[in-house]
Amino acid sequence: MLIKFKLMLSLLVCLCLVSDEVESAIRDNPRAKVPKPRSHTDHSTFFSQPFPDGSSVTRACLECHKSAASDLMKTAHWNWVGDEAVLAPGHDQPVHIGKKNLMNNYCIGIQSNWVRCTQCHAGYGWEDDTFDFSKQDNVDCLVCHDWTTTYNKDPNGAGRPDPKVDLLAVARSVGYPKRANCGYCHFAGGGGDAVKHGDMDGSLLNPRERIDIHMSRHKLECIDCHQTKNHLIPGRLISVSIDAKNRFDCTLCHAPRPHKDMRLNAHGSAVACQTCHIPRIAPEEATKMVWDWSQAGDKEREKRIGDPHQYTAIKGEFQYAVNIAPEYAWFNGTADHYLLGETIDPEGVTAMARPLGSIHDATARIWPFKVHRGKQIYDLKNRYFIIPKTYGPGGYWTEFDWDKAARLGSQATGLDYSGSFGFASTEMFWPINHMVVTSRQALACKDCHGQGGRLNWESLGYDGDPAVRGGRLRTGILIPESEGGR
Amino acid sequence: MNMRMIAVSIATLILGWDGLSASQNRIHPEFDLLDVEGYKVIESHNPVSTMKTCGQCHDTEYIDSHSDHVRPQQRVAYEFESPDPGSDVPFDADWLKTYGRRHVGGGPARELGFEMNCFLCHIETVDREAMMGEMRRERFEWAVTASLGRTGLVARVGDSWIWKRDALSEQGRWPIDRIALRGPTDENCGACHGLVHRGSAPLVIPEGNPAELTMTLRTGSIFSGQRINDSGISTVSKEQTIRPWDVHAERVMRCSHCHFSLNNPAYSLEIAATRPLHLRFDTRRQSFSEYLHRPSHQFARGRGSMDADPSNEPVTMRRCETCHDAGPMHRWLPYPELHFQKLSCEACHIPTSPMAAVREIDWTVAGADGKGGVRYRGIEGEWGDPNAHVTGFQPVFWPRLDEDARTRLAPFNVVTTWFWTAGDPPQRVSPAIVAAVFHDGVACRPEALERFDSNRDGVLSDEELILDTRDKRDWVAARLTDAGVVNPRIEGDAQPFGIHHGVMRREFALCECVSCHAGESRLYADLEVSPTAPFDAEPALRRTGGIGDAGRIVRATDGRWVARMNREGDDAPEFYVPGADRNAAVNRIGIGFMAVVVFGVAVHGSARIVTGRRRRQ
Repeated sequence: MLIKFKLMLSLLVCLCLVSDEVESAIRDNPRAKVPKPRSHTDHSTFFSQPFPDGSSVTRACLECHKSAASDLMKTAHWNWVGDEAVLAPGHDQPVHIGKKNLMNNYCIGIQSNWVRCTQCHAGYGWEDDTFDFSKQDNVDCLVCHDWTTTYNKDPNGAGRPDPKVDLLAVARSVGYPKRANCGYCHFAGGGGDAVKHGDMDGSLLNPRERIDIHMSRHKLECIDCHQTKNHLIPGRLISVSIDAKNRFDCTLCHAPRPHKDMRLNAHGSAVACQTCHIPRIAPEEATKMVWDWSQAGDKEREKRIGDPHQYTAIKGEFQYAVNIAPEYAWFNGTADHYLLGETIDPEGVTAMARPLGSIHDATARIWPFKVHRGKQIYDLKNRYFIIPKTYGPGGYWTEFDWDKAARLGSQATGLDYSGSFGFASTEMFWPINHMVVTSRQALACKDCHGQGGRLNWESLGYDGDPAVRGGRLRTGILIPESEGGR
Repeated sequence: MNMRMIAVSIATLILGWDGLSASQNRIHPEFDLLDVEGYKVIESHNPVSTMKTCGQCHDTEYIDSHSDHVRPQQRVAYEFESPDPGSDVPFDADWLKTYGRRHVGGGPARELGFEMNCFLCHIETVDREAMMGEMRRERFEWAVTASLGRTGLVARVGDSWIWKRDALSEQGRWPIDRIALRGPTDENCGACHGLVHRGSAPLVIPEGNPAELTMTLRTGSIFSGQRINDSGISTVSKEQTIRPWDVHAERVMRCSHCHFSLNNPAYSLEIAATRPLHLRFDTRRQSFSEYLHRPSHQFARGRGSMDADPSNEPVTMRRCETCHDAGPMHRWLPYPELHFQKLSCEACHIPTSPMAAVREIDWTVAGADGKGGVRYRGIEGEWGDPNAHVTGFQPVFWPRLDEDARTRLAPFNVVTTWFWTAGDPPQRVSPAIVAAVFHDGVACRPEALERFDSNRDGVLSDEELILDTRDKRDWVAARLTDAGVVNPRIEGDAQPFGIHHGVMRREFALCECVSCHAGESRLYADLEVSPTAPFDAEPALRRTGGIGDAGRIVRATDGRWVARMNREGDDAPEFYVPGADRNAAVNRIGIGFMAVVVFGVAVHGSARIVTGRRRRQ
């Protein structure tokens, strides 16, 4: 009798375990995929002598973390260029691209402006094109591992630490990267907090739930999603890359079809998670939407306006926006980027970076973007954009001479400068990935469908609202998966 | 073809047609604007005639002859503008000048020159002020033309209207590419029926005549997909109230999806009662061209709350279960079929109203505007004041006789109208006579101020204008008698209004067992009818809209009048709610079982003790 009872009890327990396993396989349980809390080695007793400079700290780090520098040196955080050459649309030969040699429509480009731009380089001393990328002493460990939050790079120091920083205290504090470490550069891109991305700013340091559910309620760190191996941090933006490698998406933790509502799951083939779950960009801190360099140079205007968010003589005219709806476009993970020397149509709008994909592309989904629009200098005769020297001796910010700035900048890029310049319109797409809100705050049907919806269906290639006219499959735009499409 | 395919086909047809109507310019051709003689208005300079203009393609005589919106003997149901709602009044110039703002014209109004105003519902920008202006001047024939004032097609010049040739198309026709003609939008419906809202701008209670928010005032319903916490209305726990005002609006449904034209072939669905057993789906139906020629302007409707006899008006609107299959979504619910038989869908899915609604309209007094005082439930502050705090309310659950002859519990708001009657048979006293008691046409009468102006500020506020004492009541009655009113007395008319909009999705619905099956059952919660009833007056419940006998108005122990449902122990209870109701027989059986168990245990225990002792001995 007792044996029978035990057998039945065991069977019951097994059944419970199996059913639980089956259920959890179906259920979206992202928490289970989040890395366990990290163990952290207290470094406070490891160092006793003051460090004279950043490189001396690096040498101390490398005594134990012997492969750390060599690992980092293989990554884009160090090289500012992709490790593989990619074939850009319209080009015959693959090219290595990255922040090192690309342009944008914010500060335009780092070439000739290294000293200022490389404040955000994970290294020390990149002040011209002779920087030694093979020297391990140049690696800046502290900017990513400082836990005192006192570490600061000198804005005019080509990535070197601010002399006022207590390097010994910082070195003793080190640990895995936290939000403040990543945010030191990524929140402040474009020259200030929230300026560049629209979905990353200082509000993520300690956000409320309505700003970001992952970093508030669930207390995730950046590296919980950007799960790093050997200093290779996954996740790239189309502002510096055009292929879909080294990226990850929400399915890193979430089930591919996480909704209880089958209609919502059906959206997944045409709509990115971000589209509904990041309904607003820059919800708290205003982000820059327009930068018109052509208006720069008017010191009187700067005084008259008195608001650096509207106008500065060195940079021109700006428009900021806060808590706005993104723009939407098809995106298959790859992008087209303006490359140095490409000819432009000065009368039109040149995309500095734009997503690729269309309604006919089964791998593309509708994605939210911040679109930053600008007007920037180009060579009037050669009809290509110029990276002007803005920072440092002879730069525009010092002498307010566009011609000289263009000439000095072109010397650094190696492009021919005709001597005449103009200003042309540009736009740059920034995919929105951060500041995810809960399902309760996510977009609802009426936000996109029906009259007054935020999506422009015609511009996305639909004949009309797919809620009433049918989506890509129903209208035959795509072949069903069973016949080769998705 | 299985049921799923049928459902998909119907949905496709409905949505496809809906998309067609929403596509605005794609289907409607350009057309000439004609006057009543059939001449082009651009040449005749006469007002537009919709009967002639729209009649070029549509059977306007047919539409004019059958639509509820234009039908003769239009009932005045505007309880906010008259103490005598529901009665038939002459359809004359005075009626139009008073209520014409919300009348679509046509029918009897056509005899006065006010033709059916198709533009009210079929274009986006209607100039109602200009339309009413013409009606007030009794230039009814110009009212339709004036309603186009904001389209740019006509312009007011002096006292007249001039058609603008440059605003018309090159052929002098309606510029369909610029001014769309399309099916009615929610905004068109909402202009007369209640508060609707679309878009991302925060929803606020609009300024203007609240009488046009009929549905909202009567039931607290707002047809909007906006989340409550995104709206501009100050509600309770707003930050946490993340549900939309109405889930159907959130899911991009429109008024016309449920209140569709009855001969719209896209909505053609034969009811089970008349469908042959062998046929699940009948493909034969009226063609769209036939429909467009003679589109029924009788729209699907549910049971009117003011319908005294449920059989008078056929219920043409589909029920929730026509579109929803409740079974799969209610697997968690014990005894689902029993619940579906006893509860309407609205009972669980509209258990509360986050918005305020009217509680009382008091025509026994009159404000400076000559109108009765309106008192609301669920709001702290003035209606329309953006600083007012909206607390919402819990409707009363009353049994309602449904079309399938079952009685189910459904949520209701009760609006009580207080008024003076006189004579035999009693006639309601005109508001003008009541107003004259309090005002001399210029200011408040000193004797009225003396009795009602409790704060002595020289103004009679709504809070002060209450006949809550014998002295005040008798004083007004005496003044009415002086004015020739015979035997004036106060009556109260408690009108229940069923709540069907403001539907919540399942996460917010009533789904806790203890909400109903406990001592403090939500099903038996009172709804305050009148905390400030006129002295010694008693509200009489109108048993309209299929309300069963178990719904009643009673005086609570604290003296307030409340709406309540009869329960076990009262007269005519219609439901027995386990956990909430006491049933003597059940109690007796339970006590009996308990006694048997206790007795059994006692006997068994005693036997064990006795046998144990014997064994030891």
